[in-house]
Amino acid sequence: MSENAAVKQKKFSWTDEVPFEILRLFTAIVVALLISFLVLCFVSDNPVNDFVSLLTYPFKSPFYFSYVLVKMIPLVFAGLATLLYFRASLFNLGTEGVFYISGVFMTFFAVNPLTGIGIIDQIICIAVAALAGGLISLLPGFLKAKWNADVMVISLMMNNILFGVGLWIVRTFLQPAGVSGNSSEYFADSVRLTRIWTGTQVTTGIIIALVMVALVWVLLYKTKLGYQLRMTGSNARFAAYSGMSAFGLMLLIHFISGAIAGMGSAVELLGNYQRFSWSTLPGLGFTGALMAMMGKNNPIGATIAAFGISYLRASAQLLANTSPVIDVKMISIVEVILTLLISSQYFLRSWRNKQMIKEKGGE
Amino acid sequence: MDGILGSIFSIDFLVVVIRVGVPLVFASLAAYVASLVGLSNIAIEGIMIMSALSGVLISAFTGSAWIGFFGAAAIGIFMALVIVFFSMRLKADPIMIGIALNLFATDFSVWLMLITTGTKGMTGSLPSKVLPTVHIPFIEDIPILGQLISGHYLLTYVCVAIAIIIWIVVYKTPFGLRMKACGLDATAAESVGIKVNKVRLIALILSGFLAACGGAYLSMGYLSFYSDNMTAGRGWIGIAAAAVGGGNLGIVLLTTVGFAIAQAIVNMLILTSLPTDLVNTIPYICVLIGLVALSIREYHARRGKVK
Repeated sequence: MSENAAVKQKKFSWTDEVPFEILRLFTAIVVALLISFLVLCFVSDNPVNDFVSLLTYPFKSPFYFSYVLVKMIPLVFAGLATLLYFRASLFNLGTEGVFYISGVFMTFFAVNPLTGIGIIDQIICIAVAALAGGLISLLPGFLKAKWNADVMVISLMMNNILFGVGLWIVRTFLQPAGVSGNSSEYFADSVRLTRIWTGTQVTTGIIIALVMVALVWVLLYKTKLGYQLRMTGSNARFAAYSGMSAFGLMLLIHFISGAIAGMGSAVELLGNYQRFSWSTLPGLGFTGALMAMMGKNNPIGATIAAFGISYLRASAQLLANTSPVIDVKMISIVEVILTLLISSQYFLRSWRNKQMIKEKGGE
Repeated sequence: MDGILGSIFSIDFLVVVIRVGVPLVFASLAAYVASLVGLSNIAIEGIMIMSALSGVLISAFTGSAWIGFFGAAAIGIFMALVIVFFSMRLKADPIMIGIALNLFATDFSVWLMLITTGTKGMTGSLPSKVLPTVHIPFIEDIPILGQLISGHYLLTYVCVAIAIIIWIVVYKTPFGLRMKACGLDATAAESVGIKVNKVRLIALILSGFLAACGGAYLSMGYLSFYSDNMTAGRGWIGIAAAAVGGGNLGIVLLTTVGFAIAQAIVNMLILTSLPTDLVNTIPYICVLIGLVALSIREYHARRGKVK
């Protein structure tokens, strides 16, 4: 019986669907790392050493490793927000501006907490940021749903507008009197997220992030809304034919994405900052777009991508103190190559075709 | 406020509009050419960043402004070729490629600055060169006209020349017709013997070159160094202008000029007591309104057709 089953079972082959995807991913990672090694060879006196420490540094101490998790949290939120857009074929890059403005609105409640009870104030802050993010994202959603406006350009223009308005609010209403600079007053101690790993900066934020990953996964794959969202992405007319209001769907996607981005902003600020002090756009929203692409618009994929990229970024940031050439910004090489190769449908396809022909010929 | 109104209706203001407008026109031409052939170049902002920086670096290391400029152009064309290669050969979504390239340029440029100058802010310490300013003999002596037409950076004249050439090519030559055909319906174009991939390749090389000119103008003319975030969204404004204009080059250029005027007014308003942060958002609000107006117009045009 078992022998029969073994015979019937198809021989393992790298050209099968799942192994091939894994092989593609693995090759993409190897290529990306190889090219960054080559770049290091040009600029570093000791490229091998630098490269090895870049790949292993976070494992040197628990604190270093915790830093990876700290950096990963906002990327997970931004990735989740963006992948919902991308899933519906909406190239909305507004997560960046939403991160900024919802953080500004949250700061009002973080500086002067309403109740003084830690956990409730934290929930209020995160809810305010989520609501602000969701409501603001309704604007591009409405323009797209009503008049089919170009959501990418609009969201990019909105990033600049939201940043200007946000900075103005910070300078006018949040900045302590008589102090120069662009920072708010300090957040109340009670609203700052609880540390869950002693000796590190890892807060309850990581739990919230992972819960959101699970929720988005359920939303996408286990609910009617998620099904409609995925179908709209692959066929624009689907929503109309399925009887679902395309208008409502569009607004809902934007509200949910904006709310996730707003939550991410609140969790990042309450976890790692003592006051609102972003004087430029933080760049987290844009990185979220990369996470979505690397994770193939899958919440779990995006989380893994966020971990991998945060690992390298944290490592680079820790090494930047001692090395003249390594810096967080260097990781952009790995990011761009991975993103390009992963989003290329034909990457390694000709190799696969050749292998398949060979196998057929052998039979 | 009177002072501002007075200065808006002056020659100096027009000169400022030209200075502010040139990189924007380069960006919107780059976006226009690419979208005309149906292969969007979303990476214009990133190309501008990389070529602005590489122009400065290469000119500083070689001591020649021209080698710097051609280096910048080569970088721009290379990045456009990345879009072509990944979208045509590896079947990646050009929008995704563009987004990835923009994000790459934003970060990578900072790292390049760090390893070449040791700082992340700007390249002021490098002895980079600037492209020449052109003084047209005789015309520069005419009172008002001379100020308007003469004494600009070389790339300003290049910009005007290229805009005219593109207009002629698109509207007056068979190749322009082929470009439009590729953008309207690639399959139909292919079926009548147009080599769609070749047309797109040429258009994208031009698009990359134009974006690179816009970047080089900023760091080798407008200013004489590269500073972080120097492009300040100009590439995106080019894309917005191309979207507003659709396939019509005239409207694309008009939108761009309108934006340049808004930007020039903002440059003046910043000097007043109005809140700087809010004033800075005015140009973007203008683009946003323009885009929405366009979408509403197209929406009604579509509805009209259906009826």
